[in-house]
Order: sequence, then C-alpha cells, then structure tokens
Amino acid sequence: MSYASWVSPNKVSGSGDDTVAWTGSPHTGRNSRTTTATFAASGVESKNLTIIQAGKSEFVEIDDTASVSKTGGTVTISGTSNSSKLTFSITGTDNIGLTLPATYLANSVSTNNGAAITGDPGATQQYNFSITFTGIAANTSVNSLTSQITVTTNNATTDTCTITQAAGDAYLTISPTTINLTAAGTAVNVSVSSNTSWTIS
Amino acid sequence: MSDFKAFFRRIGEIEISLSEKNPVSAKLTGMPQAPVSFSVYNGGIESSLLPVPFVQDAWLNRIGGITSTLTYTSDVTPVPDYLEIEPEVIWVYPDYESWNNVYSNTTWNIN
Repeated sequence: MSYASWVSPNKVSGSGDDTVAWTGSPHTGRNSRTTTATFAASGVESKNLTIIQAGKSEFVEIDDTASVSKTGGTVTISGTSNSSKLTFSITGTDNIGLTLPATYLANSVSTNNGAAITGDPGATQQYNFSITFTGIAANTSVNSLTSQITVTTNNATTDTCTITQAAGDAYLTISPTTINLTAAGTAVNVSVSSNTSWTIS
Repeated sequence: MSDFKAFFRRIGEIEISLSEKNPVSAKLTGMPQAPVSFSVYNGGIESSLLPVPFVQDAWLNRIGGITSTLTYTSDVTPVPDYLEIEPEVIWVYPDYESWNNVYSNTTWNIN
C-alpha cells in the first residue's frame, strides 16, 4: 500500500468501470496533507490519484478548571493545541497570587512561554501541553480563592482555565490570654488574630 | 464495448453480454424447439453465422438439456486494455466520502 494510512478507499481492486469512495481519518494538524494512490492494471499505464485533506483551523483547548489544596503547593494545567506557539498569562483578578512560570511543556519539550515551539508539531498534528504553577501559598482565608489563566495561540485564539484554591481553616487567637485590671479600671488591650468573624461573650 | 446478441429464432431473443476479448463464453438458458438456427449480431448487423461447434451444442441442448455453454470467437478486433481515472485530484474529509471514477475494460487494483 503506497497511499497513506489516513485515507481509506471502499475497495482496493475492481474490474471495468467503477467508482471508488474515499474517506479520510480526522486530521488535527494545521497544514493540509497529501498522499498518492496508484491505480494499476496489467499491461496498461498506471494512473495516480492525488488525495488531499485540509488542515484543521488553529485551536487551543485547556482544562476548564483546576484545583489547589488549601495548603497550597503546585497545580498543573493541561491541554491540546496545533498552534506554532502558545502564550500563557494570568488574567482577571489573581486572588491566589500565582507566579507565571517561564517555561511549559509542549509536546513533552520544555518551551519558553510565548516562544515558537521547536519543530512546530502542530503543523502536522495536535500536541499536548501542560504548565505547572509552583510555590502557591496556603490559603489563610476562610474563603476559596480563584485565579484565571489564559492561553493564546499564534493567531490569537484563546481559552481559559479557572484555578480554585480551597478555603483555609478558620483560626482565632488572642494575646495576652490573661489581663489584670487596676482598681481604677484602666483599659488593657487584648490583640485578636483571626481570619473570620468573632464575638465576645 | 460492442453489443452482441444471440438469437434463438423460434423462441425469441436471448441477450448475452460479451466483452471485446477473445474467446468469449456465454450461457444461453432455455429450451429451443427444433429446428433451430443461430446468428450473431454485432451492433445490430449480422456479423457471421455461428461456427459449427456452436450449432452442434445447440442441437445437443435441444435434445437433452436446458442450458449450454457456447463459445464464440469474435471477429471484432479486440480493444486494447485501458485504465483512466477521473478526477485525478480529490479532497477527503472525515465525515463524508469523496469519490473518483474508474474507466477501464480490465481488472485493476489500488496501491
């Protein structure tokens, strides 16, 4: 078989006049692809059929959501694309306080954010990518936190991921824990440290 | 492709499809009534009387059988084998089929 495996005829031989139906498997690369099928019969000149499949429009798909534990740490976001380069940015309100990494993995190769991807794998087929945010601090509030990551392709197609960090534990401390009031009743300050609402009773 | 027809004159016309190649085999089905005679027409013009073996087969057929395989060597110059495709360039898609036509008088394959 000399024609590419991504194309399939409904028959590979025949006799006399006939019609051959061709189907292509899904193509995820940006560029069109071409193959040649040769029709051959004994004693006659072979005839070549050129088969072309259009490329897929440039796209990027990233995880819609990602989660970070209340204790912080790292979070990795994954996706697929066929773009020649990807640019990651933190968009909107960054409640978590992410630090954008300088590199990410494109087709398993470390790539600088916003730089052309080595070998341009998206020209021929889609590739996987991932970006890891490290050093995320623990959430010291009792509310969950969110940040939004946007990835942009070479032709400005975008997709976003919302990262949510779980709410931290509530805490309440006072200092000092014992106070002595004078006979005159002079005020003494007590410091309250808390991340939630509190009452005195 | 030439249009050949064989006639059982007593029982009507039996059409057989013959290629341009030699020799040609054709099966006539039916029970002719005696006496029978046969002619072969090429494009509506009587080409020639059938060869003797053909007639003999026919008589045997009349006597004891209902089918007979007849062999006739055409006097038409065989057309050379040919193979053409159209179109020569197609676009393919995952969701529906694309088509190309093959025009040939022989067997072919796709590589």
